[in-house]
Amino acid sequence: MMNGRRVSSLGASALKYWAIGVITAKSSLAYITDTVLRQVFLVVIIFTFSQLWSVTYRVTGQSTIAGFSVTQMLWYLVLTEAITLGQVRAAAAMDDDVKSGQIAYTLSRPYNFILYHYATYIGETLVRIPANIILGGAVASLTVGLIRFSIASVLVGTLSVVLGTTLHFVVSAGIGLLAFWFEETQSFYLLYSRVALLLGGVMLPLEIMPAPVQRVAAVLPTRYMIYEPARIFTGHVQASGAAPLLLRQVAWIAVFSIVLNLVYREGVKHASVQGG
Amino acid sequence: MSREDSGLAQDRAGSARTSGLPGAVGLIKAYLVANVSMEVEYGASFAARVFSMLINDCMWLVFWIFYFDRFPVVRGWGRQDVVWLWSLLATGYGFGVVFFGNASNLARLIARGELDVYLTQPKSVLLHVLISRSVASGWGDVGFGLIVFALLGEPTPVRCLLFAYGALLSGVFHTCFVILAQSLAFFIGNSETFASQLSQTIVHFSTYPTAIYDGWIKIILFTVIPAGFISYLPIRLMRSFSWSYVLGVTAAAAGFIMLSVLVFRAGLRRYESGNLVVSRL
Repeated sequence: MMNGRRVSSLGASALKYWAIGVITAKSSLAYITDTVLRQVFLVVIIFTFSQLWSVTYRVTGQSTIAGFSVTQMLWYLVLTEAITLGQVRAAAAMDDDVKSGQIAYTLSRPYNFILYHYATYIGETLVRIPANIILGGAVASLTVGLIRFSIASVLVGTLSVVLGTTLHFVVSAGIGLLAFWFEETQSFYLLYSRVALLLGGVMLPLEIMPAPVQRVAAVLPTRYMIYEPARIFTGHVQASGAAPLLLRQVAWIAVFSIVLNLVYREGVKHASVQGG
Repeated sequence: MSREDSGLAQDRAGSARTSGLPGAVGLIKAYLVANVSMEVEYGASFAARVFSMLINDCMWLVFWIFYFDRFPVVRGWGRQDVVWLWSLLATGYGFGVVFFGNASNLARLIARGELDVYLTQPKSVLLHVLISRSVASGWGDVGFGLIVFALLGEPTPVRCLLFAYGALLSGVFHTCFVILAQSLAFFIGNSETFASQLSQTIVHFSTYPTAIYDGWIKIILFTVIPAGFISYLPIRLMRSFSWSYVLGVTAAAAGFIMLSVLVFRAGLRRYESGNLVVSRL
């Protein structure tokens, strides 16, 4: 009986956050033109990459570099940039809520502060990323041609993107919550985001990097945020053999969720709420 | 005389009064000191912005080092060229936004009719608008550019001089382009986002070796979006120096300054006041 009640309570709770996520996604979709226009800079980035890599392949005379053809390379970069630019700044939202005192209102409401932010984050991010892929993909198609995605790679890749962006959320939310102790968390986030961009394979596939850097990147969780999901789409990781990768993503999410929860609990103890 | 004409007259009068280099330099210096003092008051925030930009620039340089580690020479460009490119650009861009940080706000000021406050003061409107804000993160760019040049730029006395002049040219070309892009607001109304994207685009294009662009794209980069002026022209000074080239590139920079001033003045004739009561503290 107790188990039944708990399951039903968990279900109701999950539905609550699902509803928050859906409302955020619908709100983003209502302004989709604005969302796309704001990402026009992505076109410039992909266009520049297309020029750089087309020349690189031409100059070296190689048809594949580190296992990537020029088409795969550009589509890989479309995916990594689309995901990166599509991710909502969760750290800034958390930081803002703590500094402005908004968190005080949340504590008295019937939802979890972190899960609420996650629901809004994932709702908006999952509208922005596909829009970015369409925009960046259009540039890639015009410059180097289309790439063939299998249905399996799209399905498994999408799941991996969701897990990767969740992992990014868990880490960046933890950084945002450092606002309980530090006046300025922007520098921590920037440091993390730059490491993630470089060692997470956003600007270059890890295979292109010098061997010592590859060894460092291999043990960092940043590779599971964008690099691995993008490789599923480009066919460098077979969808049928992606289970271990998905499990590693889940494991990293679990580890950082524990850390995030600890930071949040300690932070709330640290917070002093004044009337107003 | 309409208010716009009055503004133009004052702009000219102000220009005359500040046309003497010492007057203009004094004004710029006074504003810079005031702006920096204000930024430094928010110590942690100022340090964070400077540090953030330094890290951001470092990441791009590391990207290029990784790239040229794998592909040592691409169409005549190697690692050393990209080190010079980034150190020159960062230093020029950084000084540009530190001294003339309000350039990127011009479109907003025009669209909202907030130029009035500058029209009523006895200084050149354009110069006064440009210097009335300083972008703190620009110090991060300057720091990055100077450190990278000192550590990786193989500095010699001659190269230091060329670097300083190249950075100055780069900053001039960039600032003038931003003025031109932002001045579009005089002619097409609210173009804040468009102007900002144009500015972002030119910075992005100029951070890549020009050798990767071909045909019509190269033409665009030396005309409509003159990223080639910001990056290629100054860096050629470092690669192959000649006095005739210095004269040519200096004339190009002077031409760009004149063009941006003329376009701003032409736009100012169309400016409509927002009748806003604005206080400047």
